[in-house]
Amino acid sequence: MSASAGAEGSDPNLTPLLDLVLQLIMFFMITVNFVRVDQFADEIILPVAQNATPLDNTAEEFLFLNLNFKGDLVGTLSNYALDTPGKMKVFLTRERVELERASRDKGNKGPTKIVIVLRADQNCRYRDVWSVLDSCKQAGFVHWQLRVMTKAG
Amino acid sequence: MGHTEEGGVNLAVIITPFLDMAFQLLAFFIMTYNPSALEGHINGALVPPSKVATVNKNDKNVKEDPDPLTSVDDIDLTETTIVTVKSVLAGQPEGDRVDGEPSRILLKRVEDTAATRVVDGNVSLKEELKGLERKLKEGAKGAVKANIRIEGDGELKHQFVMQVYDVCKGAGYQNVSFVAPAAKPRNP
Repeated sequence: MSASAGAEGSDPNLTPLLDLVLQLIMFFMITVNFVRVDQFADEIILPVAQNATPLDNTAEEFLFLNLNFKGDLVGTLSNYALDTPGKMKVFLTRERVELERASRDKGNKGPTKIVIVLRADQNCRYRDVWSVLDSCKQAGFVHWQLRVMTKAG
Repeated sequence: MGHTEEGGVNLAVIITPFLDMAFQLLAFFIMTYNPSALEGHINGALVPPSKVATVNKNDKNVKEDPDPLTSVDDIDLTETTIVTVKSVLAGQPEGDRVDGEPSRILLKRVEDTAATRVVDGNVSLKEELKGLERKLKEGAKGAVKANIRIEGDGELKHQFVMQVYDVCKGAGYQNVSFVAPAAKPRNP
């Protein structure tokens, strides 16, 4: 509050406002979840399974595969012509080797736990889901996750 | 900063830039806020090809899989409940069910000799799933009936496999495994 000559001026008290703003910033900083664009494809509509388990990040490395309703791999993988199981196997094997190398570079010793995260569209065929999983198996992957929505909408 | 009547100096923190920055940060976080808590996952594990080649029912080491919820082909079928989901074929709708939807759901419990349809007659998919849940809950009371295996047709849409998975988990089965669909029959 400051006073000019003969008049009483008033400044707004910004302290509560500032408190609120900082609290909001803290809330958003804690709950922020940055998503890498190469992990998700907007066109994928995940199926609903209420009994699925919540997400966890216990694996060392993840490889995201987005499967659209036609059974094609989309997202950044759409740049590759992965139209046959053989090409898929070669691509996935190379990815696995690179992820293992990256993990070793980080100082991890021993076998690297790499999880395939399959985000399959609810309208894609069960055969296509298995075709991708079979390619993963051929490429030497062991762990996989099927992403679903735990609530509709 | 200003001068007082006594000749002193008023010191005040200029908070305007601080407030500007705070609002910019707030705007950034509000715009990038993306609650992803609705997404969940189903874990699985694949048997490496080398293990599949050497799989033997008597070899207990092969069953040491890192995750109970697996896609492993080597599950002891004598203690496994099997749910088979047949799909409606393309161009051959069955009642209100169309291509890619389940045509019928069959259940083979541990004590059954053959798989039987969970609900007879022309019922809706919702009712058939309820029938499956009812029968599974009856079966899940036994201690040995912890394993369940879902065999879906290749033409089935992924969402219906997940619905069946949901019913199995809801009925109390913990070890749910999936089976690769049979190879597509060749046209004669």
